[in-house]
Amino acid sequence: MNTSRLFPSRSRLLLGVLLLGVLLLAACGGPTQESWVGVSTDAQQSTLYVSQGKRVVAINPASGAVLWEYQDDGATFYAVPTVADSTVYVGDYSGRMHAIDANGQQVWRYQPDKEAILGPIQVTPKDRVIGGAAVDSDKVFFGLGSRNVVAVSRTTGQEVWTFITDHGVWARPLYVPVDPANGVNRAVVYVASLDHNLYALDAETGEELWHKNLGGAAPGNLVYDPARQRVYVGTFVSELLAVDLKSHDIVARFKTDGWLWGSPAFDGDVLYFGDLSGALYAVRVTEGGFEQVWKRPVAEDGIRATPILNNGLLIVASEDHNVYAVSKEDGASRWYRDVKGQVLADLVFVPGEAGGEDKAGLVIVSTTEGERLVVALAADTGEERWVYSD
Amino acid sequence: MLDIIINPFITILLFLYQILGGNVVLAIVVFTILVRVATYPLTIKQQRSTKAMQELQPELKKLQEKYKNDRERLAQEQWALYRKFGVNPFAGCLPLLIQLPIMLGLYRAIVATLAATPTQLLDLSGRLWIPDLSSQVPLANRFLWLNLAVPDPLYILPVLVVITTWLQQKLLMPATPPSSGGGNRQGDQAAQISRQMMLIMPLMFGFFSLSFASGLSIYFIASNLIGIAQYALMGRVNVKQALGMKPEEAAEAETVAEVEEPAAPVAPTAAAAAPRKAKRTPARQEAPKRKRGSEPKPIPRRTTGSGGIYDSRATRAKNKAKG
Repeated sequence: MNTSRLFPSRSRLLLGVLLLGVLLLAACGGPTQESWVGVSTDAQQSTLYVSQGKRVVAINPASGAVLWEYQDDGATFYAVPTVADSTVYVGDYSGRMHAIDANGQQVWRYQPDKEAILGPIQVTPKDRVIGGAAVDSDKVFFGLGSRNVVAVSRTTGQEVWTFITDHGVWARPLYVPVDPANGVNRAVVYVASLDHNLYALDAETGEELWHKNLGGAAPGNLVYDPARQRVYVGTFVSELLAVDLKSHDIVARFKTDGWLWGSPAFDGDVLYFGDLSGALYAVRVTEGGFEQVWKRPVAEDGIRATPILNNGLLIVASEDHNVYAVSKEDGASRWYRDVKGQVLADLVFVPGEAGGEDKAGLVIVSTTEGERLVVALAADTGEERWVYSD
Repeated sequence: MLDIIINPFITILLFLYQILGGNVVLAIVVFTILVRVATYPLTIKQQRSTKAMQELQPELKKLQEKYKNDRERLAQEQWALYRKFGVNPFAGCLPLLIQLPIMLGLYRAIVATLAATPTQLLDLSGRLWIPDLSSQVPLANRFLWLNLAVPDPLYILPVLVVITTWLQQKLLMPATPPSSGGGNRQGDQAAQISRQMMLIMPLMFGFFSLSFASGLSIYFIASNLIGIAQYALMGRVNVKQALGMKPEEAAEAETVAEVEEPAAPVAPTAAAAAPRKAKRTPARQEAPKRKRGSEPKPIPRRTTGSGGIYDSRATRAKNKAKG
């Protein structure tokens, strides 16, 4: 036997080990996808909008047929599309905001101005739009992945104001219009940030009205309770918080097992939400604080998606590839369905009229698997109706 | 599988970030230093093995010339030589293999805690060994002109990564003995591979810096600088070579040493090459056992002195003489 063949030069071996390391470094960089699909529907719930990768797609929810596709070279979409007056507003992973009309044509595209970063040197900031947008009659509000909230004109896409935060804003800003009946005399944009703060900003000027430290990063959307003038928000210190918008105080806290990312579903009395440990909670809102109604360890993996409520069912999905329907009264299981992919995006409900044959409506689920990017399930049975592939 | 490394690393990094006043760069630097200190025994082992192998090179070269037409015999003789001096040619790779997952763990910990993208932040969930550290997530992403979660728009960090990676390799690269005519093809190949590595590795890490979060570039730079400092403290930094001095200059220095200490027919590599199994035997005692003409001639070689920089053989010889 030629033993010399078994005995490679040491330098080659070393080079091999190093190259292996470099390959591992590249391959083991954690999650390969940057985010998950953004799915939403319009106010009439007659069209689905899906943003993923290079495209934004409009889909007929009854059949799964594609109505139009929008593509912009160089753009990567994951943010949830926001629809107002037939115009779709969606941000991309270059920090730009796109306005798309009802035929899938671009109306305008906002691009951040160059900023001075080192003396006179100016560059276009590299940032991402991760969350959805909020709109008022003439502006679009959205957060950037690394920092800041931006307001742009709905008609031209020109920047109106920018508010500087200390970290990213991944949640959709919450626009609260003037509402004298509930004591709201000024239009306010509320923003939850990864810098641990909840900001209240004047919607017209972007001026900070007040802010509250939440004690942890708040990546999920705010839930507005107009009757109590509160917002509810989950944090990465595993707490659901209620913030009073008049006193600016945290008036209630509820401790959970895992981090909270998805926002709660709210029926006016009880908040339903899951955490990243896989537990599902029903918490009653009282004047004295939060009161647990029930808690169930539903999923084997995290629940990031915001659940939906329909016909006495609470429907929730998990990283463990399953969609679960439980009774909203006690959390008892009704059905579950393996959708063969992680579900991280918020669920969307399409009522019976728009959902075709399914009178109980459809639950629209998006997965991380390209072959099953969007899956429509019957809301009452969990049976699969159609699949949209990448 | 890497979770067993990544999770404690993430916890430590966040803990450092907390106690260092939320300074992310300082946390990364201190973290890198701690990991370097923890892997110090492995580094030493690797260096010793490299040095031992380096010092056996003259003997190996002779064997290669002697058995250049009989590869099987050559391999047998090489193994015999390694056994004789207690050297394992793969010993230098094992510490490197152990350090690789540590490096990957560091990398993953930094990327995860910077949380540039939603999936990275989601991946962080459940990894903290100290739940209270959740309040530190995610790390601040602003440092000087940088957004640490995205690549450097001015390309300053990628350039620094390339320079420091190259510099570290250049300073630490062992001297490649000059080719002995056309007879040392393996040695030439090794030198060629070394030169290629000198080029490929910095460029590769530079490419990573162009593509990944600049927080990772901070880590690469800190790691390279700390590595250079660590090796300098160990006396392994080869400044003369980095400055472009050729091995002949060392050879000249060695000649001086031989003149000063003519009766020291050093068994060139035996003592140094066998740090564990073979006890160091003074060269003078070993010499009489050898038949005249059979002992290896003193071969120019580079040796690292205790002063932290490349030392000439002459200095060593003088020290020996004093001893």
